Amino acid sequence: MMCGIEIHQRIAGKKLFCNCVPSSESAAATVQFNRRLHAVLSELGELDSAVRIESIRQRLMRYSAPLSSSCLVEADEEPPHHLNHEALSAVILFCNLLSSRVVDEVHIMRKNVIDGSNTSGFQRTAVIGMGGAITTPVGELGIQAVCIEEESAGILEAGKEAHADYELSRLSIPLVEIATEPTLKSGKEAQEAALAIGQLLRQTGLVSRGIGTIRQDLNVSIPEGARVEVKGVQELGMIAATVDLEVRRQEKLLALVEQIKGRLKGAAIDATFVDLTEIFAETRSQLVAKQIRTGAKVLGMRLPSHEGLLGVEIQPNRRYGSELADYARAAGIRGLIHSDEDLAKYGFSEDEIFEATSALSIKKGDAFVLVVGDQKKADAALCEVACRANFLGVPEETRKASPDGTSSYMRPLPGRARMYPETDVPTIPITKELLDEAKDMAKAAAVAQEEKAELLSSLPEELAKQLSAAKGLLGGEGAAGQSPEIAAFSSAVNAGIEAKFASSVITNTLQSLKREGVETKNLDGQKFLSALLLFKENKITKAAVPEILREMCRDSKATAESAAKKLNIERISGKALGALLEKEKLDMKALMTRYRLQVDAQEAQGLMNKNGKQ
Amino acid sequence: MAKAKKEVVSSETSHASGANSGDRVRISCGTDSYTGVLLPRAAGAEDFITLKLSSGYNIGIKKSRISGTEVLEQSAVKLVGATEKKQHLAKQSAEGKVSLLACGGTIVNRIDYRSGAVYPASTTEEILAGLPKEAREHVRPKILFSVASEDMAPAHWSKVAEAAAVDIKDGAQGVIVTHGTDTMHYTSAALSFMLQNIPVPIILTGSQRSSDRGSSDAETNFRASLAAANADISGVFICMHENMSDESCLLHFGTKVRKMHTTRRDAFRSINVQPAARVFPGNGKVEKLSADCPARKPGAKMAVDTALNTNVAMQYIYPGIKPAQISALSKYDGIVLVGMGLAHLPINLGGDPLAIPILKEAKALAASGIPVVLTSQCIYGRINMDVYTNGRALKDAGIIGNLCDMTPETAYVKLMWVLGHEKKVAKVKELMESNIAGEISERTEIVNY
Repeated sequence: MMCGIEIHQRIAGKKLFCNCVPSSESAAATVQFNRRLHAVLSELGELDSAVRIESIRQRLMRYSAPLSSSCLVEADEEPPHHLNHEALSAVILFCNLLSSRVVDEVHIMRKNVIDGSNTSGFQRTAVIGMGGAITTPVGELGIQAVCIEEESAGILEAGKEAHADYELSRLSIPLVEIATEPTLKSGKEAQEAALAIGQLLRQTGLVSRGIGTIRQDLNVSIPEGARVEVKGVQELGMIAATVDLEVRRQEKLLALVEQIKGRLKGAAIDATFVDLTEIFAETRSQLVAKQIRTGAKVLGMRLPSHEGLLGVEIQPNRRYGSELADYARAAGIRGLIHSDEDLAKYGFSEDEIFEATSALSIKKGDAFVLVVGDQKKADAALCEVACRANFLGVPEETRKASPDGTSSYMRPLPGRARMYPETDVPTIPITKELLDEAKDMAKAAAVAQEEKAELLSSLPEELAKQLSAAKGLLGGEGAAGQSPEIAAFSSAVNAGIEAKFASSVITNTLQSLKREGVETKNLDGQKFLSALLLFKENKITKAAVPEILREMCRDSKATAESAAKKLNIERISGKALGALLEKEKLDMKALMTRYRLQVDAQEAQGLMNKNGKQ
Repeated sequence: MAKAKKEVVSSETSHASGANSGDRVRISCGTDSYTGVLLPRAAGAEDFITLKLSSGYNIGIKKSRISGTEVLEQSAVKLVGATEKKQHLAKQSAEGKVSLLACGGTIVNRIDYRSGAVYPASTTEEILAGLPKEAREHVRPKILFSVASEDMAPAHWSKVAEAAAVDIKDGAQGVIVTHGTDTMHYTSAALSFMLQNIPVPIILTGSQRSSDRGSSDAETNFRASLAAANADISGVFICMHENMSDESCLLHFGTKVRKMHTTRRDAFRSINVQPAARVFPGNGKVEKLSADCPARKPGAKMAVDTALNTNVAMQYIYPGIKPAQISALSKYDGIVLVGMGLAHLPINLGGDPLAIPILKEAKALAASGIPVVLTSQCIYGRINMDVYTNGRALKDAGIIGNLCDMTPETAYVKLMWVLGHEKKVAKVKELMESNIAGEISERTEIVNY
């Protein structure tokens, strides 16, 4: 088998063609608008097949535009501004790290995408570097190209027939796309390679972190099979399984094809569709009856000599019938019913099934499929199914990765036809200044790396390791792409807080607060630091720090001071502590039980000793 | 957006190496080499070449870096030049009942995908090919000219009016004029004065996003225009998006509309009146919004009068404007001043030492017999020269336009048309201050802003 990977990693900073700053928080104010996207012909007057499929669906695209993180550019109501130079410099830096030759002049291209994920109907993309290599634990891996492109809009609700809902805060975030040569030989190798590339990018401190900021596409092909692109593997750990399951899918399909060929003996499957709506007019199947009432048709098609084959498992819990159903869905139909399923579970009566099989002229050994939907879409769906069923091999496809490592068909592999120049953005010569800027960024990244190493070197090895691994505990972004945890640690140490204490509050205190279900991400570096500083200024005790942090997580308006006041845990020391000691009759144990959060044991002990001496 | 302005380089462009655009080549730059199809330079500096890689991406290579060019295949790709665009043509139907007059603009622009150059459609087949399939049989296209709307001149307006008149007399049920958006409201105003008592709808439409993108507004605007051209209305209208969604368009009265945004789909706004109607491109429904939107007038005798005096100037008034700027207008036969606020000019009645008054010059123009019409750069609202002493001074000086609510652009077109028929200033004043083609509304309705 052959496998290549494409890594898509978001670059931190502004969007690619405007000055919006992406936000992960859900926006308070949004504007809604609805669009219809049209298929655009290629220069040869042909429709790209991927584009054609989407145009059959004729969905209404419903967009929600957050006012704080999107503007008229994302709404496709204003032409793009200049290409984000910081993002470009970052990608040039990545090219340098991968020894990829940077082009002399950047040409922004439009890649037609009319599934609604881009308001414009295309994705803007450009090649920045060509060739190169990366050293991975499994050897040297060639790089085909390094591109810069815009992120798509986030889908809110998928799988609807009539419309698709998108949110624009994500649209147009800069992405670097790194495509490797297809020389990986196993899922494990692919996973190692993805890990190595991801680490290389993160080291620079120029990329975003967090869920969804890195995605892997996998190009897999096996001998006799076909090139299949599995898109959107979000979990790095699922790459190996996804590749292996795709290899298995292609092998199983090839075996199945042999069986089908043997049975069909050269005959083709007729794309003859029979309207069975009348037969099911009175059906007790709620699913079908409901649709018929709203004007839907039930169309059926005979699959000669296919009995039993539709139920053959191709991937865990996915059968050949599931593959055909994906094709029906691509045309905008909810699903497909086939004769290798238990039809009674749909609520069909035996009479209905009998009448349908006779209407479809089903003979022994045949199978059939049914679709329900409006006439045009049902027709289109069966056309797709017929084409797929007649394709006796592994079709070239774009597939969508599922979290369990399996995948489902999305659309045909797009052709080159869908790429054409973006005429609204001038070409960009790669100047010496741009190259220098990338070098400066590389230097800054290296310095930040060193600083981090130095910072961590003051900690015992085990603590340093824990701190490096800490993630998702604090909100906000660290400077120079550092994790917020490392950034918070660094500013605490710089503010004179003991390194060991600072790191333990992060890795132990925050971690356990998080385990309790406290939203620790409500704290950013600054708020976190303010709590530690309050301790340093002797206004609270060490023991009170977790309580202060808890309160600040709970109430986003609370400051460290106000939290201490509210919880009534301001530190008692000096004379007040002396008085308290008197009151507790110098009983240290009783004092600490009652005032654990307010009294520093050491100070109390010191006072006691002093008093004792007197 | 992308306009016809971008230069199309012919496919014959030769490169220093002897390789031609369209050839598949291997370019060597020292130890590096690049393989792809050589493209004409559609944009950018001349010291680069453009190569289309097999992935479909284009890159630029600096000419000075090139050490060798090997032609792998001559004319591997047939490039579409500006003069031979035979792709995706559609057959013309003779049955179309709606006349389609193409004037150019983004709505009829096509892209040469290989070079990225945008060019205007130059045949009726190309125009038809750009329309929604089911719409093609309903229209009879005619190309009047292929100009960007900023290049439309008053002479073009007359040609559009005459062509529309011919087709209407020929039995067209409606007329659609495809037009660039920048000056569409000037043309719609001109048609409103040149053609009166029109029996059918004349719909001007355009697009803010070129048709080469999936998100183009052209299809929605065209579908809506076709519905409007078949609707029971008459007169001149602009039909464009109502808002950012593709679900409805508005019909604006030809003399009461203006492009109010540089880029948005809903750039056109009705000024000082309700839009005439709302059109749903999905089902072709036309919903009247204004009581002033007339029905069709079967058998109406249309007046066609395209005479214009184009020696008219429009002058924006701004703080610090030099008196000489006003005096220089004396060579024109008519002047529209785009004044401030309620319709004021800097005339310094208070005698401030820093002010630069232009009253003397404005008075002199009016006194010399040149009609001077005042409008407001506020765009919205009615002007009134009676409220402040400033306005009264202007009115006394003979400045025309008191209590009118015309947009500056409509006033400018109207003045040309009026001067095409009338020389006497008193008569010109009377015509300018009375409603001819819906340009002056009697009432300023509360909601029209």
